Amino acid sequence: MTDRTETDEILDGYLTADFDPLQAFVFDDDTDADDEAPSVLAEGPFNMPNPEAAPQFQRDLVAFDNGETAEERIDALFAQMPTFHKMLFTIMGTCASPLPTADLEEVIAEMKRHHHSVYEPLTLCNLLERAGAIAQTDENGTPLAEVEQEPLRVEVEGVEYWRVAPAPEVFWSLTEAGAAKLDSYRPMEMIAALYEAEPQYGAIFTTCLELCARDGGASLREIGDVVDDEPVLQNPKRYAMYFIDKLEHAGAVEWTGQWSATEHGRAYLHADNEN
Amino acid sequence: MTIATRKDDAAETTENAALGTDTNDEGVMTAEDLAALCESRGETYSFLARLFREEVDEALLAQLNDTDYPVSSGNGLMDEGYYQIAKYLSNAWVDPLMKLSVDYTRAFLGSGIDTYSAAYPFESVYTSEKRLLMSDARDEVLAIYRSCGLEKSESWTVGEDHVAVELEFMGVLAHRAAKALRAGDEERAFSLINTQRNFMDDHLASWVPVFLSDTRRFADTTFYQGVANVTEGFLEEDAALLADLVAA
Repeated sequence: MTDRTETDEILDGYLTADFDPLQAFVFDDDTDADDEAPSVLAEGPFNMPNPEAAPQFQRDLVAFDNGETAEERIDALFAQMPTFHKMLFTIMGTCASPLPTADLEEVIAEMKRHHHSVYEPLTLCNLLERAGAIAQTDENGTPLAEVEQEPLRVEVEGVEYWRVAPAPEVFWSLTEAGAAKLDSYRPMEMIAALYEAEPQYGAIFTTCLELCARDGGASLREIGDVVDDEPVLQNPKRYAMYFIDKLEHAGAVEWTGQWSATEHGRAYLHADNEN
Repeated sequence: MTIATRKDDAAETTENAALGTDTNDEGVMTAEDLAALCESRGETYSFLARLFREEVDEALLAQLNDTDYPVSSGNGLMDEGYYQIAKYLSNAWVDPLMKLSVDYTRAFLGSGIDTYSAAYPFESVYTSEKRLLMSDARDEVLAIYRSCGLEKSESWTVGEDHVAVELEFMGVLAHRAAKALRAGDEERAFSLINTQRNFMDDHLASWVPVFLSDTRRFADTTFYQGVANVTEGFLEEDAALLADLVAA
């Protein structure tokens, strides 16, 4: 038998029946229930999925046109197309008075020049139409959905035929639900909210906006050269893109090959300068 | 373009036609009349084959819009189908190509992973136990095409038992029969009509009606519902016509 060393004795202390190697990982059962995010796994020994606790975003992924009312469908469509808000609002605004299909396609094609997407212009119109934000109408704004044309019954050399009826000219018009959604879009308030949410960056937002308001706009590098070294951006470290992203979502700037101020961005700057 | 009404022609043919009959002043169908009928059948087969082959494109849509569809063709299914097509086109004002493409995809391509998510336009699917592509039916029709001196074009990348190919094959034989009749080669014309009859009985009639029933189930637009009705009605009429021609 060999002599026991000091190390052996220490190990003996650990290798007892009471030793629990996972002790350090035991969760604290006394945590406040309010602090816990709901789990999709139900309580119980089998951890079966709990459908009640499914994250909300998964429910939003269902087709937007399942919504019962136009308001629900429009809200769901906007929630599912976060990068298309400006385009969708612009389409809706353009349709405030009845607009022929070809003209509307031109407006959207112009917007799509700097917004690369797989959606064809009429696909975007179709999405808004299904949501109930815009509708196909005649030139007076009367909805065409209520019109169902019968084919023409013609006689050629004594034989009767169905002939495709000529299509009416289709205009696109904003619906009441669409107008309500459009009214809720207030970029000036959204821009002001940016300043209120992070007042310490007010001067940075203004500088970015001014650079974008120059003729031809500004590149991200140009904006970064001006603001990235500002003391207020050092801790926590922020870069120009942080501010441009927020300004874009608020409708103050847009990408036109460079970052350019929108009419709302310019109006905000103008109002800010006057104050 | 006007789609020929087939009621009168077909009735006359089934009552009087006999290959090789000469002109008859009492209105009996002549070889030329029969050739014209075969040509008309060939056109209809080609037209239907095009509708199933791929989505409607701009040229085809323009053609469809310019076509007059018979009100009373002598077959209830065809009448209903023609009306459905004309009505759909009369109300398709905005982006009809996209809507028809979507419906074509929904009806014939499907998006599921099982074999029951669409009306798959292949004979193999409808005649094999496990609904598999490229089964015996494909080998059989390929052998028939080859025996008629036909080979698939290089641009065709799916099975040769696709409904469009089978319909196109019937169209090719109908045109050949018309040509043979005009050239006075009645034996060849009879042989071609006999081949069409056999192909109709052994292949088209054995699965296309079920496939068209599925098409009605999966297609959302009345356009493809109408295409299914016209196709089924036309095949009914043509099967009867071929049987009468061969029996005559």
